[in-house]
Amino acid sequence: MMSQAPSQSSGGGAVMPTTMTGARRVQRPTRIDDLIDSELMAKLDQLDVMSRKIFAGKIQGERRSKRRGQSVEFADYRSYVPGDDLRYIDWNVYGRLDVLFLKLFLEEEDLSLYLVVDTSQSMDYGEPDKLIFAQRLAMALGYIGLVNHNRVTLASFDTGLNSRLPNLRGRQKTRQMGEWILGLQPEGETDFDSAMKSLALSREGKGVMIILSDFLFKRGYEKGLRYLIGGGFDTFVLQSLSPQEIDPGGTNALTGDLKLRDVEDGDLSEVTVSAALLKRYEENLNAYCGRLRDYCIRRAMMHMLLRTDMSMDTLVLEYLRMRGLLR
Amino acid sequence: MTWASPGLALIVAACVVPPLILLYFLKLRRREVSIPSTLLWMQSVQDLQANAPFQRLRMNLLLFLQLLALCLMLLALAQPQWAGVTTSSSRTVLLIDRSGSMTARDVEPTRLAEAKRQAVEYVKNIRTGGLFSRGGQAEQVMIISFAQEARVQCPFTSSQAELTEAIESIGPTHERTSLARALELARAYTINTDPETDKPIGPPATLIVFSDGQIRDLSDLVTRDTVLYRPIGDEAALGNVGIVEFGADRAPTNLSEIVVYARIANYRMTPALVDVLFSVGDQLVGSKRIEVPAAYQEDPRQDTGAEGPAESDDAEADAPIQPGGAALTLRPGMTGVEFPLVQARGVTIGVSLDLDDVLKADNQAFVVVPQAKRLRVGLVDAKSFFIPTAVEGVPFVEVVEMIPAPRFQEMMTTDRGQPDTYDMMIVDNVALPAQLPAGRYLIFSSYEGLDGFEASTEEKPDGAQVWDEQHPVSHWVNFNPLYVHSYHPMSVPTEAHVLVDGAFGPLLVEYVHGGAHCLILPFEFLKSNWMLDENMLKFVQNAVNYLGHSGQMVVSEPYEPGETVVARLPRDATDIAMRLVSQAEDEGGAGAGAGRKVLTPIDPAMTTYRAERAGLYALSFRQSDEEEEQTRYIAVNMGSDLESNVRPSPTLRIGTDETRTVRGEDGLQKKPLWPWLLLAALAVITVEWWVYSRRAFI
Repeated sequence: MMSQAPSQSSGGGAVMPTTMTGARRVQRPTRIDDLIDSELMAKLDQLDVMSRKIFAGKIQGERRSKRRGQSVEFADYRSYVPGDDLRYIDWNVYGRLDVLFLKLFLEEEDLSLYLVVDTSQSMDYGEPDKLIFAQRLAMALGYIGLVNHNRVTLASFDTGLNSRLPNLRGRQKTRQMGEWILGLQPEGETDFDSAMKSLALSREGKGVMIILSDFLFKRGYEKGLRYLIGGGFDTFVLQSLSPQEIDPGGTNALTGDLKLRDVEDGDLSEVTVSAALLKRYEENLNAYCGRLRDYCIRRAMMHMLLRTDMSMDTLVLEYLRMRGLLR
Repeated sequence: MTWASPGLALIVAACVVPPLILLYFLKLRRREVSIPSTLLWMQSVQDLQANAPFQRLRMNLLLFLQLLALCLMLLALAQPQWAGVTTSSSRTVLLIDRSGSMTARDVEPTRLAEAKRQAVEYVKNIRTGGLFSRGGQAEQVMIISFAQEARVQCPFTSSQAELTEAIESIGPTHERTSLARALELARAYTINTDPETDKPIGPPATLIVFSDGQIRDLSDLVTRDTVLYRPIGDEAALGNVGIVEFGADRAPTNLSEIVVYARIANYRMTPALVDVLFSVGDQLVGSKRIEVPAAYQEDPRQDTGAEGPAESDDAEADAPIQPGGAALTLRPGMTGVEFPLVQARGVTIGVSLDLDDVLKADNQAFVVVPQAKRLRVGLVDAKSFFIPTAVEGVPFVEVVEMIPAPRFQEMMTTDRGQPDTYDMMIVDNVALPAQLPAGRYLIFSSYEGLDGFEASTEEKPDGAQVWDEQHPVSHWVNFNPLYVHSYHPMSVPTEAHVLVDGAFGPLLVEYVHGGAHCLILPFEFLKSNWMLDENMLKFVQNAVNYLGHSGQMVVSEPYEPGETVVARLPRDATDIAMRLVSQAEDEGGAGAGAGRKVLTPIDPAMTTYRAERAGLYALSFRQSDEEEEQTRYIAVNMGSDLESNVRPSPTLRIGTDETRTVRGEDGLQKKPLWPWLLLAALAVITVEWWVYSRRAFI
């Protein structure tokens, strides 16, 4: 059985129900409040993004850096050499030992947080919709980053890396970020490889990389993820699947003789839904997600399977904290 | 396995199966559903590239079930019929034994009822023509019942109702069993070759014999037909005890004295203690307890002796095949019993056995003894020495009076007959008037004067060719040695009954006309070899008794079941009827001889009746000048040690060929299977519906 987040009813009251047919109409969020409400924002103020690695920041920030700097946190001593700033000589040690030592303090820098959202056509599916779920999660995580003065960069991809909103910092950028997220629309096929390649080549610094996608890529995810390995990212792979994908025989079940059409490439598959077929599907889904998880673990990435019917409160305040993405 | 209408099923299959499969090809219209990715579905479903039609067919359970249901229905339409042992032919003759031994009760209620039940069961399972055919494929069945005679109960038909009705109408008899007549009858109906071209004109028939195997003429038969034998009867049942011979005689010296004798046969392997009861009329007059010795088995190949039962015609009564291969013959234990009576008047004497056995019909027997009477015989111009001597030797003849020819001529013209003077007259070569007065005459040679009789001018030698063995005057008489070296062959009127026929004309004629009852021999006694033959003495004795007692013998010989009872009644007899007044206890309902049967005379002075059942019959009639009804009693006794041996034979050997024995359900022919196939189709459709529902609403 694949590991996945606990399922709860969705709290997104502003999102209209979706249907599974191609002719469905989904009411997408139009306001920032549709993505994140003030009550949740208040709760998120207490959180911060946690990285398992220590990265060098670009500017001074609130996060400990590998470099020695000017923070108040003592790091080490070293011998004085001419030219050093006399303000950092430890006079107490000089008094006892009659040797000049220079006090070194830890440098505090900002953290780069990359939020990459899959906006391909396949994300426009499920009840709740996977893209809306990704938008709301990206909004929550981005807000946490902004509040903690991290350098937040947002990007979306489908057939390639689409748009980017780089280097947001500070709470005042919340609106800008929200409007960018609200502007995401599902379209196009997924080309995960080229998107990740572009992302890796255009990186402006190391940091935490969070990828929001369903990872149902016919051409595979391995090559794309491999681009992120060498980039020094602390990568979190958040795989979001709708309840209809996880359990096709449950609510709004697929029944009878069907012609399944792939929304991205238009592939048609004629199936006759039966208990044996559903069982086989479940086994294949578990195997697929298991392979993705193993792939991530072996490459020091964190994989999380999320159901889109999870409430955002539970997801952010409990699950992501428990899994070490937030603190 | 046979098929009643395979062609129809093939046509319907050709019309229905391809469209069904085509429907499945056309059934590709599916509901289209958009999903984010077919990645996982492609891995899950093996038939994603399902446009390959045979892959679809292979994996489609619903189509398989529908094809299965359709095939079952098509098979039902072909109307398969299950064959057990079978007759390869489409014509079958059921030969049902209804002889005396088939009234045995070792199977309930009787063997005949069991045979009829099995025959009806067979008829219910014959291959009918099917629902859609016109009977061309139907099996044709004929019903023949046989005992001493064979009778077609129902000609070839495939109507089960007619056949069942014909089988149910078969009644029991106490006759002997003769299969020859039945086979001849069956062969007449089943002949399948064109006599001109000798080519087959139809399929051969199969004969199925429902019998207990106690058939007397099996060794003489030859049959080319396929014969199946269905043995009827319980081989383990206790054997039978019966009366195989019964008779009575008046003492010549004292007509009042009657000696009754009976022979009892025991077919059990243990001695039987039997109470023999004698009755006169309805009155029981005496009884005797006797022990009949046990039956025994002997190997006929070792029996070279000249005496004993092995010499009898019924020696092959029962020849079971023993495991060792030796055919042993069952010989009954026999014992005789006599009982003296003093009775001058005419009586009916009965004997019965007081015991419980499987066959009741042979446990009683009757004999009719007419009133004792001494005869006055007039002998007219006897020229030979032999005739008076023979007449004087006849018992119960009181007076033999010689009448000269002139006086006889005078009697013929003036006295108008001799009823008051003589019981009968013997006329030896004396000219006769054209019309004889009322009376009874035994006439030698001088018949030319009688109306209707003409003598040939040519003299010829002659000998007896055929004769009526049933006539009372033929009793114990062998006419075969009779040779007449010279006589004028005669032509006789149509109403005359020829009793003995020679090569050139009748040698003995019974003629009844205008009150005159004559036996006429056209030859002179001295011109034949009869004067030296003992048969002449028996004939004269029979003729004197027959004519002198007005058609009744001193002691009426009992008939056997199946024989034709010939009653010679007065010419003016009316309201002639026959009824069975005493019958065996094995009736099981109204038998063939039960009830009152009104008879129509075949001749002004002769009435016949075929008695199929044993018992005492009463023949009643009225004479026009008498108000009171007259009754004569006739005894019909089984008296056959073959029929009394009721042990069923497990096999049936006709001539040298052993027939195939079938038992129980084995012999049943065709069972229609289409109802079961329809049920199976219904079950498959139910399963198909369930599978469909399970897939649609999972």
